[in-house]
Amino acid sequence: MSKRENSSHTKKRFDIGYGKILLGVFAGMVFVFLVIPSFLAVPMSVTETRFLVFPPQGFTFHWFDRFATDELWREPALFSLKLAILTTLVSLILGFMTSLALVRGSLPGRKILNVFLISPIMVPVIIIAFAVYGVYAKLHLIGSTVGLVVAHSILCTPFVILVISANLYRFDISMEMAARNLGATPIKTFLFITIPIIKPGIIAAAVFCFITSLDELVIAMFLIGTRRTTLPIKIFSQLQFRIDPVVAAASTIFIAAAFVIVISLLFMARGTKETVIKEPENASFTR
Amino acid sequence: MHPSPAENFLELKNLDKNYGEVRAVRDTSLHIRDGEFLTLLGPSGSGKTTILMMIAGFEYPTHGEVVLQGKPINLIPPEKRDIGMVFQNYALFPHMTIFENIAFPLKMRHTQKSEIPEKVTKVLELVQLGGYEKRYPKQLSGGQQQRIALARAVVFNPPVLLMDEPLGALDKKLREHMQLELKRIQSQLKRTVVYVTHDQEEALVMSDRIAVMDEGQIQQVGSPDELYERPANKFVAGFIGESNFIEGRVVDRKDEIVTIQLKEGSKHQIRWPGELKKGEEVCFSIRPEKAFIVTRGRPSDIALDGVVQEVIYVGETTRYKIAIDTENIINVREMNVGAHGRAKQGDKIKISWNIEHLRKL
Repeated sequence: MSKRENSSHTKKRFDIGYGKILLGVFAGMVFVFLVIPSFLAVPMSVTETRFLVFPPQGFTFHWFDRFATDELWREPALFSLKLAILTTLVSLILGFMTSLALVRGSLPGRKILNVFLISPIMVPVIIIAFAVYGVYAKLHLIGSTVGLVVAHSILCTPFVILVISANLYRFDISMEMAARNLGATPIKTFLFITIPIIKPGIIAAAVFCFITSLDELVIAMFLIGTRRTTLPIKIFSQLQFRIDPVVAAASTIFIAAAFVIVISLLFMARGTKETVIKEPENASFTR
Repeated sequence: MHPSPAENFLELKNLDKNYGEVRAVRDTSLHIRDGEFLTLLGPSGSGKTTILMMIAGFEYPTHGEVVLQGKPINLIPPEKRDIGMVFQNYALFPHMTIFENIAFPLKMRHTQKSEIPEKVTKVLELVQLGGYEKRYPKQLSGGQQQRIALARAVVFNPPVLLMDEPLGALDKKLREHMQLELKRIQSQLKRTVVYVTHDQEEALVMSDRIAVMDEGQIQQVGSPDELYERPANKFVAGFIGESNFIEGRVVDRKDEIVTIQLKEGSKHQIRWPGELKKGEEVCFSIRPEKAFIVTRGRPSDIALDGVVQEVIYVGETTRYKIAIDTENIINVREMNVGAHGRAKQGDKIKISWNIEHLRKL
């Protein structure tokens, strides 16, 4: 008896070990093939040579200075930032409203509509870019900020719908009823109860939209026109023609920004941990 | 005659609620008195929660009217009704501290900021959770969360407090404790309470009056002892406490002695002083603890012959299952006071009762 217990015990431990090894291998591969190459940009950005080399030679902030002061770099960086912020706002508002209608509404055919609205995720980006290009050419929207924001929002809104819908499905409706009962109008209920409770979902959706728009290359290349450019296009074209260390400086800034965002998000998520854990508990009560 | 304002504090007038083909509530009328603890008691799907939702304003009646303090409130949105409500799952806001939760209704009513802390402290003391202001709901036990939900529902002094199975999620012991606790708080606040539960014991312990509901309709309204002692129909007699039913057709009547043919064929003689005609279908009920076993001598009231099928000893009482024919079982419960020996399985006995305890439904 005790022997059998022992063997099953060791077997279980072996299983966990096996899984851990697989996880370790996967994490290692991600690190070697994705993380390290990105971080290589950091040392390369301080090289004194006029082209990208590894290992870097000497030490200078010259290329960062160029990135910040050269109009040819600053303009696309600021434009990309503007695009990302506008896309995030538009996608969040559209996605949130759509999710409310899909989850709370009683529209017939909601499920079909849901699949339809999420379909842009399943279409290759190049095809979206090509299709939108055709339409924009007729509407004279090529090169306009509005056009790019709309195109990027097509890409981002489905993700907002997915994330916010999931949050709304889990949301315990009696929270809203309690708020109304306690004297809150529907708008106050939405602002003080619904939004704070699903805040983690909103933050996740916002970050996704921001990053997606910020480094989107394909659609932007089709729709950007001739007057200006976005940061990803600028980097891409620079890499094609000459290998300038400013690219490494731009990448370094990108990495630093991503770090700051992720870390501040972790802090925000910690602030709302209560909510995240509480929700499933509530769901079990309502049953 | 019109009921006085105190008698008619909250009135339900011919309420109907249909969901498509389903009639959740049918033609329900009820007068709720000022300061009383009224319970809507019924099995799930009997319409009791729907009625509560119509009072709170979350459901709109298909027909009929809810009238609070003389004013029809059908068209008033929930946030303007000034009715407190405790939800089954408490519905405490997880992103707010206990203080913020309780202060929420005050803030929504634009109570002066300086007055809020004092009011919150006072109501927390009422529910015996002073000092918990800075915690989050998740950090409290189920019973504590329940008290906070109650505190939040009464802090703005609503004239009516609604409770939807507020103790449903608690374990039995805590539930019994909270029943007395809720009762204490209610008598301290002198607030009108409309309470919803499916637990008949809970309803008996807590209520001034109980409205028993089934299939969307109120079956009977009365005080706990009225409902228990004088149930109006078979449903009430069966739902509140246990009842034995003696159902059949009157085949003969000599003075007060009535012969009843039970549905399964056997005939029994019962004394019944009230009105009853030959050929009438009748249903009598008798509570198990009000019936007793007669083993020797002639019983004073002619009663049922039976054979003891099962004897179950449960400490303070003994329960007997007595077969009066092949189909019908009568349950009898006797206190174990040791005055007489217990009947044994297989004994041929008679079941008797005091005539005033037999109910004709």
